[in-house]
Formats: sequence, C-alpha cells, structure tokens
Amino acid sequence: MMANARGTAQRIALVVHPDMTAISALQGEFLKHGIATIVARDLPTTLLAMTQHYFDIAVVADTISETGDGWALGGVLRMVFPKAFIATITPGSDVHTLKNAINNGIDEIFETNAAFGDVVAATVKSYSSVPGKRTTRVQ
Amino acid sequence: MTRKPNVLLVDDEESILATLRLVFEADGYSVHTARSSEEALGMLKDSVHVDAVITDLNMERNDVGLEVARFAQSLRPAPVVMVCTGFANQDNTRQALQLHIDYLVQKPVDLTELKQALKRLLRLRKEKRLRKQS
Repeated sequence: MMANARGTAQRIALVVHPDMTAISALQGEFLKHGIATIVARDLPTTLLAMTQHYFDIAVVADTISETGDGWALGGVLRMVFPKAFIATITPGSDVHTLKNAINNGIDEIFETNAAFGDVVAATVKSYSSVPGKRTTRVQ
Repeated sequence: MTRKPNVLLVDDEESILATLRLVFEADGYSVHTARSSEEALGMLKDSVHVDAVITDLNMERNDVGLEVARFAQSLRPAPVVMVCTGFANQDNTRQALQLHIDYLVQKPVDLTELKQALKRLLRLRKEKRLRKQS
C-alpha cells in the first residue's frame, strides 16, 4: 500500500539517527502507536527512503554524519513533506538551537537525554492534534 | 505585469524602519511600516494586504511582536511571518517555534540573509498557491 500524509490508514514515520540503539528504540516506540517506521543512519539512505515513501512524521538527529547536518535535512523534509510533523533531537535547547528549528521549518525539538518513549508519545500527540497545521507554514 | 510584493515592517526604532525600507524598496518590494504592534495590528485588521510581515519582538512591551505574528498567521491568505529581534531568549524563541513563524533573524541583521530568506519564502508561498489552484 502506498502511504501518504494525513487521512490514510497507515501512517509512516522516518527516523534518522547515527546511533543504532536510538533508531531501534524509536522504531519500537512508534510501533507501539501503530506507526510503521522507516529508519536510516546516513543521508544517502535517507534520500532513498524519501523517494520511496510519503512520510507523516520524521524524527531526525541534529547531527547525522557532520555536525548540524540534521538541521538541513529537516529543512529538506519540510519542503518535500509540507504536512509532516518534523522533530529534531538535539543536545540542548538554547536560542541558537531554537532558531535553527524555526528557520528550517522544524515543529519540535527534543533533548538528547529525553526518554525515547516520551519523544514518540509527544510527537504522535502533536501530529494527531494539529491535522493540516503545516498547510499554514511556508517552508 | 506582476505586482510588487507587499511587506509590512514593524519596529519601534525609526532608523531600522528607514534602513529596511530602503533595502526592500531597492529590491522591488512595496513597503508599509508600523512603529508599534498596535499600529501593525490596526493595519492588518484594516485589510491592508501584505505578502510578508517582518516584526520586532520588544516594542510597547516585551515580546509583543509575537501578537503581531499570531494575528498575521490567522489571515487568509497567510503572509510570510518573520521575526527580527535583538532580544531573543529561550522563552520567546520557544514561543516563536510553537507559533510556527517562518523565520527568525537576530539583530544586528544580516541583510543578505534576511533578503534571501524573504525571497525564498515568498517564492515557496507563491508556488504553493499555484499548486492549490491547479
């Protein structure tokens, strides 16, 4: 079944993180919410996944291969999937980090030490509570 | 002939309004200015059509620019909303993120960054509108 954003039977999340333990934990948590998850540890795999699926949710580490490359990936995801809920996992939440999130069209940031269950629960809740919200945002 | 995009600049510092007006008019924009959030809200409520709003945060009171941003986002079609501030802190920046504003720049403003961001966001908005119509 081909998936697409909002209003379809099967929601699909993208998880991009360099740490396999984090990927596995996030995938498990999404599964508990009935959300299929495509995972990637690097940018080439992520790009391939983006050509194959329409993502409703994306959770991306702020650093994948190079420092801060997760922000740019978040910006690309916003342009490709304008209605998706996009979250970034970052070491902190200072002004610079929040500014990066705004300017790349990210919906939410989670600190690296947040429990994976909490990250996914908050993400799913936010995604479900604001259907179509992204349509008002340009990026 | 395509019309010039309308930009509303909101800042309580006259020198910033004057500078940004010069910069954006030279770039082909039609520029409106407001010296307070109250004036800006009045203009937006009076149906002054704007394609983009660039607002300061601290004017009559701290973070009041977020009220301008919030109201602008309720308009249809919604303009691009950018915040330009010299007093970004964790609290008001998080509020801006939760509001889903389109861009945040910190003073002193990097004009190249500001112009590029505005141009890109307006183009994305235009293409989105065209896609909807087709």
